[in-house]
Amino acid sequence: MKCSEIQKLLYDYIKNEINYDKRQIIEKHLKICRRCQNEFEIIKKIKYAFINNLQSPSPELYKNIEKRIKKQNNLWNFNFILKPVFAVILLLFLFTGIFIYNKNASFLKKSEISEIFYESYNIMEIENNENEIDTQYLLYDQLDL
Amino acid sequence: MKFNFKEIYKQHSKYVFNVALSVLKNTKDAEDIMQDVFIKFFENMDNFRGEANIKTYLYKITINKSIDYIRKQAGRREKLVKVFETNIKSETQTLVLNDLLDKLTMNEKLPLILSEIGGFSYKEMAEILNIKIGTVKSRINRSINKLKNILKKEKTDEMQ
Repeated sequence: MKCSEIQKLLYDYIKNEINYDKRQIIEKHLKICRRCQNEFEIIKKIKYAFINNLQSPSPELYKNIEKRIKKQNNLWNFNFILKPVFAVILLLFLFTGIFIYNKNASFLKKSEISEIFYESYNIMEIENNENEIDTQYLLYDQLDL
Repeated sequence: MKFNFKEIYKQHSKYVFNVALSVLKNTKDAEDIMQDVFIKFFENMDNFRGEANIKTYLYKITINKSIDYIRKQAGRREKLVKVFETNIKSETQTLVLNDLLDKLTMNEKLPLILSEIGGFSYKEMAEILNIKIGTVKSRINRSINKLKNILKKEKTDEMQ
């Protein structure tokens, strides 16, 4: 294998993404070729640059994530459990209100409507009597009685 | 299959954070992205069947969220907090990773970041980036060649 071919495979060799035969060829070549050794060293430096620059995230981050998850869970609970419960309670209140209203309304009808009816009947009767008297007087006037 | 969220976090948070950091170059932004990634994972945790899927998913989401973030932020503000300012001393040469990554396009950078920080195979990277294995290989080759040339040039400049 030529140096250019070996150099193309060096990254795969480091990544261990190369078959056994090619690995053997590269290893043999690296022992004798200075130029390819230099190339190999440069690739290793690039790799070390990544490894040495690895940083750890702040330990506080996990607590923040936990808090956000908890908050989200509470919201989830509200949405999926509390919401239907609230809806049922609201419906219960609504139906109870309608029931009480209807009950009161029918009570009023029984007691008061008859009274109102009786009173209005009396008024009508009085008015009728008054009208009758008025017409009688009118007749008397016309007949000069 | 039930997963322990805390264990998954312990196992992957450092690498997810560093992938976001390599792309965003800002600690605060990388932390925000990492939190979003793990919260999204938590929401979907019950849908996973294997550990390998989780790893691929976490990095895929990290890359997508980081790129989205960059797009949103593009042109809005200068990145003030530069990370990776620690110099890596290797023999006589000093490597600043951030400067090196700046020389690469996003397409060249991402497979290299995934390969070096996440330790992914070509196949896994193809899955995460949604591209063909051949494309991953050629992008990595291109980025390695670019970086090699930069380092060689630096070496010759030093010698002169």
